[in-house]
Amino acid sequence: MRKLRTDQGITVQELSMGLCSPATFSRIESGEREMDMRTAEIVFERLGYSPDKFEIYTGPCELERWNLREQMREERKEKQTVKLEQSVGRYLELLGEHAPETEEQFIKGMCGYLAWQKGQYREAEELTEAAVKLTVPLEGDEWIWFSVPGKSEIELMEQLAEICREQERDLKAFQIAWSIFRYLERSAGRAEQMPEIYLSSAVGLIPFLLKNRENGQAYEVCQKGLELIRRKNYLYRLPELMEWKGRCEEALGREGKREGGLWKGSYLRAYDLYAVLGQKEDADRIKTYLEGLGQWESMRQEK
Amino acid sequence: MGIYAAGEVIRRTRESMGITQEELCDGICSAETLSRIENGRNTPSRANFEALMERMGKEGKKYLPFLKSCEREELLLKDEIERCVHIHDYQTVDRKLRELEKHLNRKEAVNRQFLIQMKALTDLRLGRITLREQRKRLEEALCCTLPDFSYETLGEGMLNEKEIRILCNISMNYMEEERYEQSIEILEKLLEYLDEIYMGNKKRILRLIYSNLGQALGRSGEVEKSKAIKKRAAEMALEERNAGSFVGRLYDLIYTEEKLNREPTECLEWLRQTYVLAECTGNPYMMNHIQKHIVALYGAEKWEDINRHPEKYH
Repeated sequence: MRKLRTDQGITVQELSMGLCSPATFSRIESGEREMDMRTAEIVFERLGYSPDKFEIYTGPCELERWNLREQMREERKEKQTVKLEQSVGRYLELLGEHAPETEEQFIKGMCGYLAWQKGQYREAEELTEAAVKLTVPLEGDEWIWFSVPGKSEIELMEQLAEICREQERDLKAFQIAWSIFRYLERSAGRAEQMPEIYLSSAVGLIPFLLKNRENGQAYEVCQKGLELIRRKNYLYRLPELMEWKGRCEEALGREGKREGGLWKGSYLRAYDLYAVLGQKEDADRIKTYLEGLGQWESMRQEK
Repeated sequence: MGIYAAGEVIRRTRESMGITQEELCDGICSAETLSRIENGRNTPSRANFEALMERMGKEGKKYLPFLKSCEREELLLKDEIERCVHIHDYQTVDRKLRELEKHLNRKEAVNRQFLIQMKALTDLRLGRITLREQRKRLEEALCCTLPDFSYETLGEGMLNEKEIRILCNISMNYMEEERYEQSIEILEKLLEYLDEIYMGNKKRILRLIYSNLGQALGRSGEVEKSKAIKKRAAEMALEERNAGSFVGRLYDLIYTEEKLNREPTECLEWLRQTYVLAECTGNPYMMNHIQKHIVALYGAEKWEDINRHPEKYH
């Protein structure tokens, strides 16, 4: 653990933030103190690494909870809310009264997700936000942190951003997504480790930036997302990003900051990408848009 | 703290699967060595650690913290070589392989295996060896860690991801030689094997086998069957969000559709869109491939006609 940490230039203070005191953490690193499986998982995730259960095995009780957590993540992914609710109940039984904060975070996040799926937005937001704050101490109310959150912590923030966005609490959603995006950007290799979160937060940021006429910045976010897709050969949210790129170019064109015709290329590519990925409705939407501008026929013939 | 040394991880995983030390280490290292590793008296090399974990269906790459730092360079170079093979950039592979040869410890069977396999793949594509020679070398690579390998008993012992990949290479070699029966038989045996075992990254391996099987069936004339399997492989690639593989599988599918005499304008439009996808996901090899395909089948004029983009993508 120490090697992973020092290799990346992360301090004990940063890594332990929200989990335990730096002094305690130093003792953990030197093997003088023990750590439960869930905390170990978070620490490793903060170091950009997902451990296997046999690496951090501490005993059968904790293993049972680990397996159940794995199952719950799967159920969330498959949107099996009924099953997930049952699993949460079983998990709480296993946990008993004295739940460590890291496990509380996991379960609060899942409860937040369930509330969200039921349309109970206020509760969902409260639960998810509380879950995040259990291990990510925030500076002020602008969603800025000085720790090094790992994958599951960032996923929770992403969940919170989406819940806010659906309630049209755009500013808060933007602040969270912006912080995530910048954090993944500036720490080497993080964006590559979490391409899914990076691209989702990019797609979430662009409409807000465009609405506030930050066209140049919106364009830059698009380009960065598209660049990651190319670099990592990772096929996720590509057509959407391409469509947003077209919109950014269109907006920049209106401002006279870009050549007028360029955006059509991006729209056409977005059309092709939607079509080839079988998202016919989206492809048609773009076609209709271009037809409305009287551009579709001429552009297709041009090709 | 529940963080264990490499040997402990191997032992726990092995015991949880109920296999013996002998079964696990065969071809990778001696039973004595494994025993010393498990007791913490020996530290395994990264290559061996990965091979042992993969044999138990675990993703070897996940265990990075157990590396000595000098092995890091080696790992990055190997990753880069695999990535280049994936996008068919064999010139770069050739160069990087020579660089890797200088550092790699050839006493390790796993390292020898990697070198022989990659060289076999590269030398064929660069026109240095024949198909027959390539197959001989691939079999040699396989025997580095499976000394008693034979096609008759394929799938009876334990196979790791690397060994399965080499077997897929051999199957494709048979296919290129138009010996479809042998090609298909290997893949079907692998599918049977995978059906019964646990493997962390099973989906990725299944996708590889399906895409190879789709191609082999298609060439052998079983077009309908091939189409169904190719479709499954494309869906799996999309699920994995693997752009390179999805573009490849789409191309395979269109190829079959053309064989089935689907409406040519429809196929052409589909090809063009796949070209755009390759362009946007940074895949010059497939761009070039699709372009050549269109020129050969529909004519250079048609290509000019459909590829007049208003701007180059950047």
